[in-house]
Amino acid sequence: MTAPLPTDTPIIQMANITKSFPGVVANDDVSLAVLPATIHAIIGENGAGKSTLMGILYGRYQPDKGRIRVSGEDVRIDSPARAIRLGIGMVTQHTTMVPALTVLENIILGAEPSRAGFIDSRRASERVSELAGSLGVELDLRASAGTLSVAALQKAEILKALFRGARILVLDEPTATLAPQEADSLFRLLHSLRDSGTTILFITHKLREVMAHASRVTVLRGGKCVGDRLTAETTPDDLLALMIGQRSVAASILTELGASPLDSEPTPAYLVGREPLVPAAAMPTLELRDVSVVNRRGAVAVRSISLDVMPGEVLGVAGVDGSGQRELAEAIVGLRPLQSGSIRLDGKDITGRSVGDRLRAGITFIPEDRHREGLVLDFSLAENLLLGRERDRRFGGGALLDLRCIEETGEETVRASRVKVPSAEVAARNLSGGNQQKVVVARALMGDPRLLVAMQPTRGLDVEAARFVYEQFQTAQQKGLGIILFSLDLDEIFAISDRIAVMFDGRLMGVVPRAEATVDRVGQMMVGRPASEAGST
Amino acid sequence: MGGHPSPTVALLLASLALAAPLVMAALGGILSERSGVVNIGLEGMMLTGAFVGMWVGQVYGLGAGIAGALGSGLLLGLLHYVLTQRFRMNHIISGVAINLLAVNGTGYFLRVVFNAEGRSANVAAAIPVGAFILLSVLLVVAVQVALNRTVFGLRLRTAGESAESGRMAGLNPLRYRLYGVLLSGALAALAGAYLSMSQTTRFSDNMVNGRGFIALAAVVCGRWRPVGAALAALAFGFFDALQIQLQGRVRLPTEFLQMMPYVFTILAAMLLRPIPPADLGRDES
Amino acid sequence: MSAAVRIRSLAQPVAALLVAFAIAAVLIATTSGEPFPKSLSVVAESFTALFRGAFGDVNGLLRSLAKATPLLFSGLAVAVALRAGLFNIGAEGQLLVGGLAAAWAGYAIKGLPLIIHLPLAMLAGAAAGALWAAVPGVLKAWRGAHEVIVTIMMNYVAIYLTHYLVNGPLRDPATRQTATPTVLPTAQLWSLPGSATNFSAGFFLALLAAAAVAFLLRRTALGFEIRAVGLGPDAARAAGISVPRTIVTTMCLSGALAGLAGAVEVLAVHHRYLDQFSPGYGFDSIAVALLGGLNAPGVTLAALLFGGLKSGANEMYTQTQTPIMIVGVIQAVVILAIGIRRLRGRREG
Repeated sequence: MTAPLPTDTPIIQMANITKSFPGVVANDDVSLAVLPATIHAIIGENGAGKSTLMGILYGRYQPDKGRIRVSGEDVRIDSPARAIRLGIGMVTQHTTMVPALTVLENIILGAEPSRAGFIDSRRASERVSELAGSLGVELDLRASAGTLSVAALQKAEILKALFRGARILVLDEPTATLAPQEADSLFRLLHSLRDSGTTILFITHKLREVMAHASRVTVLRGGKCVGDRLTAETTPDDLLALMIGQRSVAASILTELGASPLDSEPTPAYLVGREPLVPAAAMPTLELRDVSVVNRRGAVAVRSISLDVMPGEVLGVAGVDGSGQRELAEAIVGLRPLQSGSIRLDGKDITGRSVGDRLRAGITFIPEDRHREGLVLDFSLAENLLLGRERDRRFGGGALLDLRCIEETGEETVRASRVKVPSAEVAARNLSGGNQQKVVVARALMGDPRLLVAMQPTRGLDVEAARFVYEQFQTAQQKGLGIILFSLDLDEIFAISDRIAVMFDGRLMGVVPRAEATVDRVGQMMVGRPASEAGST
Repeated sequence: MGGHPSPTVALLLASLALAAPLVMAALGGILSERSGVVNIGLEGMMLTGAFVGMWVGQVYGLGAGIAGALGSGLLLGLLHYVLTQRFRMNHIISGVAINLLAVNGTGYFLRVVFNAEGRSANVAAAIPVGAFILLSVLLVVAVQVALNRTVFGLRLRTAGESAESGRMAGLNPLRYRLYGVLLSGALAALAGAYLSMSQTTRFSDNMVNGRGFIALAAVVCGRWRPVGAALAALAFGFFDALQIQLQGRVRLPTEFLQMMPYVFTILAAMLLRPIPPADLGRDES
Repeated sequence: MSAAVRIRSLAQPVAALLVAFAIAAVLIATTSGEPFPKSLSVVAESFTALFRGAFGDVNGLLRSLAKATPLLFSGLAVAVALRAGLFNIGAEGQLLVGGLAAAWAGYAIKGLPLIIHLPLAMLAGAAAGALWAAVPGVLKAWRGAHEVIVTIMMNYVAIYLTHYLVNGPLRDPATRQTATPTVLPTAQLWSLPGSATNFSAGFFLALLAAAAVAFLLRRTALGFEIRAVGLGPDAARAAGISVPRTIVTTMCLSGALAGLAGAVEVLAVHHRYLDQFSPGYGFDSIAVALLGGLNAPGVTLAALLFGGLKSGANEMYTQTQTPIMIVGVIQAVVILAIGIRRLRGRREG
């Protein structure tokens, strides 16, 4: 599908944008040119820098280096207000509609039609209705925004941007939480906007959307721009290759061993030369049956998933962000109740048991956000090892704490984890990200647990720290620990999993033994093709 | 028809007179909290308004007294804003400190300036009760309308529900929080001035005596809405008037009536689960 | 903890005190009615009288320690709650019900030897305080109700309830005062004979309580959980600590300590529950807890300081006519100066 020939002058030009946050370079000399009245896609994996780049365009962040040009003029976008004045509107991944306000109030916020300070609601609703009508959007303006579906909220957000006169619309992962039909409806809207002259920029993972709707696509990876293509002149496989590349930690470890994760042939060798632990044991450690979980907003995030994890195995769960992994992990750990279904650990039903009970039964957790959920930053390293285990026998067995044992455990962990600190009394806040994660991992593996739920265990870690984590996993596996690994890093999944499960839109698309898995096949399942169809290229 | 009003009417009038300052302070509390700033310091702001109003009013007359009270309320409001939004201080701690400052500050100045032991000479002029009741009713309407139908109100509510959304829409939520807190200081101080400059025309130590907290209770029971809070305040004023009338006359212990506002609020917290503005008290991070 | 860290963590409270005294000095100077150089001497005289009254002679010292006793108990109460991230503004109410319960147990239960009666009466006070604090605790844990509002409300309920009880059913018919009957000698806590100073064994009990709190926080599993919930509630929850249970337990502990504050005052100083016996100890305790950095040794020092200030304030007034409220102003400024760095269950020492 070819777009009409655009004029040559880009309406947006971002040149040599560099932006760092503490500890990470989010955008590294990125350049982007967007032609007017086109649909332009930006793709990349998590952490590639897409949201940061768009955040700079919308004035939420200031670039450390680089220039921005809008409609040919150099500009400094120092706040969202400025971006709005330049005609840029943004629809973020997580809605900024205020639930307690009405739809109309949300849409006019900041540009309220008024008379002597009073909101002219008649004029406001006339103008908004007109705008909505011209786009074929139907909304109950008087409803409170908290009652709207995600799809409706999104339409309202687009209306809001257009109401402020946006000529450039930026959407961040617009279809992440939409059903297929809602996504189609959204794209129809975007096309008609494009036809009437609006420029559309959208961030996505989903290659199918890119090919179907965008005329141009820019690929980001690891903070850098690695490709800029016309969709008419590229293929999904090309784009996938650009997206994934060979830069992740697990990949470099694999490369050292001579295995390449991008082979389209299955790789028989496993990481660090370990023998695959054949699940000779008949009884699975973890059994999930028809588990459905509802997320914070009340929407179903996990749809009737059934899964087993065998002792000693690593079950890697792959999927794009927002496919329900977080909710599933929380449900297994006990942080989130099940809407329906059951969970069994070593044959015993644990549905409905508290987090503490599950911990004592043998489920441990490496959470996604180590700063908020993994560690108490103001506690020392030794104290963090104690978290949740303060009543364990080894630490005193009840009411009192055995301070010496705590101290010793701390020192021992520092030694064993090769954490370079003067002592275990250092506050967790002052440890590097890698060392912090080592502490979380060490605690999770204390005491011979039965099942480890690991979310993104090596995110942000350097090679040495990641290797340490994998070694710890291995050691524990040999004692029978089953691991369910949730990771957005496909290389990691491929590196250490015995079986790979793929989630998409809350559903289990399939479970594939590692020996039969290829990136291509898994990738297709990640974007919605069921296992039976995937891998048939 | 003439002569004394029936006891019921007298009770009603007394309720209104007692409720009016509560309503006004509660409106202040609503404006602050709907913009996102917890204001425990209403009590202290009322007390300061009572003292400054009486002090300035004695020397320069009623109008100046009211203006002085308003000014002191604005100052305390500004202090609370700066501490919580600029210095990122915990809202509760700031409010507690302001209360403590007010009680002790006014007590100190009472003794130093007036050489008085816990009360002052009477103020010459006085705020007419009827006018004040009328004003508070008008203010309920005004705040209700302002919050729900003006640009200012919409933006203030946004600051309290989701400051981030406000920023994404190009607004500066902190500015509306400033307005909310300043207004709350002014309204609370005005309510305090009424206490020392109307039927009771004197200032005594700690004369607000918890009414600032009852106003807070009215805000919670009224679910942060002007009309709801006003009704709650009216109910509390009624209980207050009732227990005054019943004192010595009925065997029912008046303390239980005096307890009513507080017990109600606890019950409301338990049963209603009133939902405060979403961004209330949240630290900017 | 290294010496450098110790010195640094003392710096903030000391700085806060200096700022508070400076502001108080300005206040005294500008309202002294004297021109510039002379007004400074008024300040100097006031502060000298203040400290002399507080710590200058044995009687003054004992008086200060006596005033510090309830401040220490309730300061510990507020501090323990804050370590879990909870604002217990209700110490005053918990103190009142604790005092009344202790008084009742002291006069209504007859025929017990001292060795049982006295601890029993104190226990009654602690239990009453704990129950009073359990209400906001449960409401927070179960309904998410903000404990600040509920504890403030419970204060007033306590004030009116105790007022009613001591005026009515529990009133001593034999005297004119609004008070309960005198507590039996077997439930009276030792106090220094001659009622000039009000110094009692309660002071040592308060020190014991401080030691117990320090022990609790550092060496017990519960103390660890309290600190974890205060400093990292999400991490605590994800690690399996029951946050609701910790909240309720902490509030009960806090209430028990505040209840003891009242119980000790009643059993040692007045030997009965006297209506309005508390000049607001519960409210002062917030400043004490914050100045003390939420840890037991700090709170002890802060309680001693404020006990001294309150005690010395009378002397200051007698000598220089500076109103005693200046101490309250100092308290308020201290809270402001310390609270400027965000405080949430944070250990400062």
